[in-house]
Amino acid sequence: MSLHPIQVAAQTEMQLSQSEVETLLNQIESTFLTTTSLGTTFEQEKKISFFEDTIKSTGALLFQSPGKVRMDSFAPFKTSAILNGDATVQYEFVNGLWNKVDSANNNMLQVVMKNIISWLQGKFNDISLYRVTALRINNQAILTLTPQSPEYKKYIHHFELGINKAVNGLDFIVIMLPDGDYTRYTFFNDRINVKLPSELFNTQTTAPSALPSWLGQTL
Amino acid sequence: MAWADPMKRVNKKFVSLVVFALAGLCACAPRSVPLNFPSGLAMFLNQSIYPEKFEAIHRCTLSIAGRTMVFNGYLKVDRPLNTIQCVAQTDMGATLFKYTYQDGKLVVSYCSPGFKPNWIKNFALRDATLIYLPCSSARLPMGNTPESIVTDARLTCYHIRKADVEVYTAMFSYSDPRQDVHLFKGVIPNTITIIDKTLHYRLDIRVVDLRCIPKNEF
Repeated sequence: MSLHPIQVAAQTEMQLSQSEVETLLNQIESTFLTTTSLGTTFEQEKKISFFEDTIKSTGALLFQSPGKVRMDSFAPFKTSAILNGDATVQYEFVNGLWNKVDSANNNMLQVVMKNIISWLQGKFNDISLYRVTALRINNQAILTLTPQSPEYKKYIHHFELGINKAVNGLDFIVIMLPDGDYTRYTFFNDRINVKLPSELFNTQTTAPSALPSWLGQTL
Repeated sequence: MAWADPMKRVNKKFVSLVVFALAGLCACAPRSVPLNFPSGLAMFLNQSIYPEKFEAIHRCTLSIAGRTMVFNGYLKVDRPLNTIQCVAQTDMGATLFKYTYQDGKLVVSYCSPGFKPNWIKNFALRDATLIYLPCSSARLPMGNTPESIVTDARLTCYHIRKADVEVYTAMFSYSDPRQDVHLFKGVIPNTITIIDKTLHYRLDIRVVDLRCIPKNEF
């Protein structure tokens, strides 16, 4: 598995033909659809052109099919974002307390989180949305999703998604921005089809429900 | 699933939010004059609080027109060279804006469709220069007067008044000791709150990290 989007191009790789991409996408969709729930931790690496070092943070991702997803950041600051159906909520942990944020960017967050749900369900092949290409590195499939819409391209240059070797989940997501900066999420310790209490996705409470202890973080 | 349409909707909502709140205010942006703080404060700011060169990560909450927006600010500052580089990003990694300011010149290298470069100059850059380059490059509208409050040998607040009415406040809070910040000369503010009564916004900044850069690097 590559560790850096720039390194992907430097390694020996096999670009898949369009028919191979179609076959791969069908395989991914059929196996991903067997995932009804997921809990995983992640490390986020952010590369900003003028910063000396990569900026790192950690967190967790929870998914419950069909329409619930939660992303928590553990460090360097604590946040929680939950999408439950069409309800989105953000929480910030400040001075020892959780605050519910009525954020103007909740709509944008909702669009992004719904996109994550689509990916976790193996739905990558929306040709109206993305041009999909794929390559294999060390037997790992990496999809590149390039936005089709000029409006969307203003925000995102492309996504890279590393499919895990069992072809039932993602190893990483890279969000490549138009100016060359990028954010990479690398996922660890996936638990697939694990029981997740519905309270974890409650958007009505004043603080997010505590995460399962196996995610290594108690809030 | 259709991404383009939701994005357009989001964009339109965002644009309308910011336009409604800011456009009229930008239009009346007055002529500006150099911001000359009292020399004691300038010395204090320049020599005692922040290193000459540093990188900082800010967690920002912007409240404007009754709405709130949370984002991350990444800054690189070289005060002797009078330079600020800044990028603001959402949690998910999308860039809102990115600029470089050097010797009085602003170059906006990226501006998401919801922002205009002019707003970067009038708000984001103005706040950053007030905090980090206060005596050399920050500028104030004509007729405004800066003041500062120093308590316990620390800068805790400065005000900008216009005709004896407070129009702008920047408050600095400290938490001792800060174990999670790479301290320079002891203590830096860990939160900064900016309230602009003219432009009707409040910006709460949590300093997540601040790292000194060696003098030969930038």
